[in-house]
Amino acid sequence: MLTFTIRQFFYSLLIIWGVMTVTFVIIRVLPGDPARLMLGQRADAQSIAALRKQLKLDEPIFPTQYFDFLGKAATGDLGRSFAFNRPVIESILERFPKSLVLAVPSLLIATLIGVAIGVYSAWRPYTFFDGASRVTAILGISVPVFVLGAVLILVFSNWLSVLPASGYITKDGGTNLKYLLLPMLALAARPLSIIARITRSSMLDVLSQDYIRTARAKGLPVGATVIKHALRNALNPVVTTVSAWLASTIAGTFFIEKVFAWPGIGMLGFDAVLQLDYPVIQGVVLFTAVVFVVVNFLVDILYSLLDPKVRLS
Amino acid sequence: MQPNQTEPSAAMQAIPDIQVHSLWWYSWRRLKRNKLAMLGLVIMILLFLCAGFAWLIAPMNPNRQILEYARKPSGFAGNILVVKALGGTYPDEYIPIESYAAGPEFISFVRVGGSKDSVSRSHLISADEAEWHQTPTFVLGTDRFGRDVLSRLLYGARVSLSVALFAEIIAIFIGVLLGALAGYFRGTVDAVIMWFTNVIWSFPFILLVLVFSLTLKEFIDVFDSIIPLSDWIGRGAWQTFLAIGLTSWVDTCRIVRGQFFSLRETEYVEATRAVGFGATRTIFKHILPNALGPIIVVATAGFASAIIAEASLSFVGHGIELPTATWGQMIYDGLGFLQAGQLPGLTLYPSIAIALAVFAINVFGDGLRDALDSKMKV
Repeated sequence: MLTFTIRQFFYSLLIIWGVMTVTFVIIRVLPGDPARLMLGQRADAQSIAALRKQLKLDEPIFPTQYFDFLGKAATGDLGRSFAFNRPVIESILERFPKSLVLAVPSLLIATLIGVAIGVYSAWRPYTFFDGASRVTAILGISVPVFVLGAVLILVFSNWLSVLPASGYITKDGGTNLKYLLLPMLALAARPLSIIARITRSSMLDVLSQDYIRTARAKGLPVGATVIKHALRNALNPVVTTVSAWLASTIAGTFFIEKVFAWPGIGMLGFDAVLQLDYPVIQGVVLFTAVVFVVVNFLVDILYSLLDPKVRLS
Repeated sequence: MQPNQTEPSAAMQAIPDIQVHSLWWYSWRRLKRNKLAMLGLVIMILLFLCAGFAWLIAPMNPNRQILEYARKPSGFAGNILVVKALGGTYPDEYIPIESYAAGPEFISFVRVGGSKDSVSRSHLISADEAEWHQTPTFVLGTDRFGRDVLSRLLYGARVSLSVALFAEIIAIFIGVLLGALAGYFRGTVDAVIMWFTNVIWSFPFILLVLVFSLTLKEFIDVFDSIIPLSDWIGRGAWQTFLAIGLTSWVDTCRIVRGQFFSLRETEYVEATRAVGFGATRTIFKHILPNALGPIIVVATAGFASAIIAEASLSFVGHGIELPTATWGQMIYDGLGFLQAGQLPGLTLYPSIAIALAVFAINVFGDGLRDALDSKMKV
């Protein structure tokens, strides 16, 4: 177990190093002057020269610039935002918890409902419910999140006027969970659809196996067979999917936050893209990628505690 | 001579009547029975036709602004005089009117808004009344510049489909190449490729595409001097499809690697080694054709997500540049009105277009997977 943890830990570090290097290559190494890119076309020569000096752009790309970048990124120094004129890492750490408030309940709901739908579909395959849920699931992965967000606003906010279109849960002073509902729904739709699909196909596989027939033959009630015997064995691919989605939901609430004006890290990145605030874009890209790697590492460890097979693979 | 050869039994005689078909033939027959997949295929073909013949079926020029007709609802009927232009982009000029009276030399008319004016017959675009007086119907209404939404949707299909197609071709190329190398050679090659795949996979996809596209923006002119895609699709086509293609090969790579892992252990691949074939020949002529089914399935899914990625990029304003119509840009334009509770159609129609396109491709891909009977999970 310890060997596995250590191995995974170092592999994660290796991935994070790769993430930093790719970011560095895209922004610094590809031709084009990063200082001019960062400051925009109309920047004056003086500020460009100042930024060039600050970023050490006059020094050789490798090794000086590269190691300077790695060292700063590793210590959390992601530069200063042009738009806010404050360290990027401060903005990120301030916004990140708000993204969690949105992402965690979303995925929880997606998992619970997704597994329930998947199990019922597999238990009664090729019925109306199964067909309808499969088509809905394909629709769920077909609609871009910002489209779904727009439609939700249209229906619940414009036509029915039951839920607010945008804002954070503390918008009106106290905590108002009403603001959470629409963005949560929009964010949950895609993972929910995928979880339902995976659960269904995995359950169908398991339900056709001999031991299930044996369980039924010896007189176990249907519910017990499906839940206790089949679901437990069908859950493996589901857990893998959920863990992958946990990481990318936390990292990728990009459009949802913008559409619903939810002030998390996604909206920070989105606005930075609109304003071409390069240090923030770079910071958000790096930070979300690192969060993704860290969450995956933790899930791997947890997973290996539950299922010894993982450790040996 | 053996008796059997001169007088074959009834069972032996039946054998030549059995037609032997290829694996693809049986897959196609299975696919044809899947109604949902066929529906997807039909929608896809229709969308491609719309995209290809947008110039023929679109009722109006998608970029033509009639500011007087801005923000009109679906089904709005216009009333315009067409006169010769004195300059500018178009050979003719539209004057939106409320009514007109044709005299022998002059046409007097009331402009939208109430002011009276007149124009000489020699200024009209032609002598034929059907040509100089038109009442176009804006089936899906107009946007905030008075452009025809239906025409923009049809031209938008061209952008979405072509960019997604180019992007997916690049992604398939990279994914197949890396996946094949990793799966065939294993060991260090596999470790390095999988490390790189995991690195790319760790980035939030849409942000990576964005950063890539911002960097590539510097080189549009260089690319355009080789192949002028900007003239064909819209400015920014190069950077958009390169950015999407260069970042979305991860799924293909994983699938191909998995396929190669199992296929390289089969007897026929062992036979190619025994005969002395080189790695290149074995990989591309012997293993790859047998991994084609899963690759096609993952390619359809990739095509669908490339459409979403293109729409997302233009939604953020960094895709194909204005004034080219794209679905993502149309949704972003409409969103402002939607949040203010106005003109839901501006958001709704392009949303439906994207959802329909991606849905069609996904159900077709699903059907394809079932038909090819590859043992893939979702």
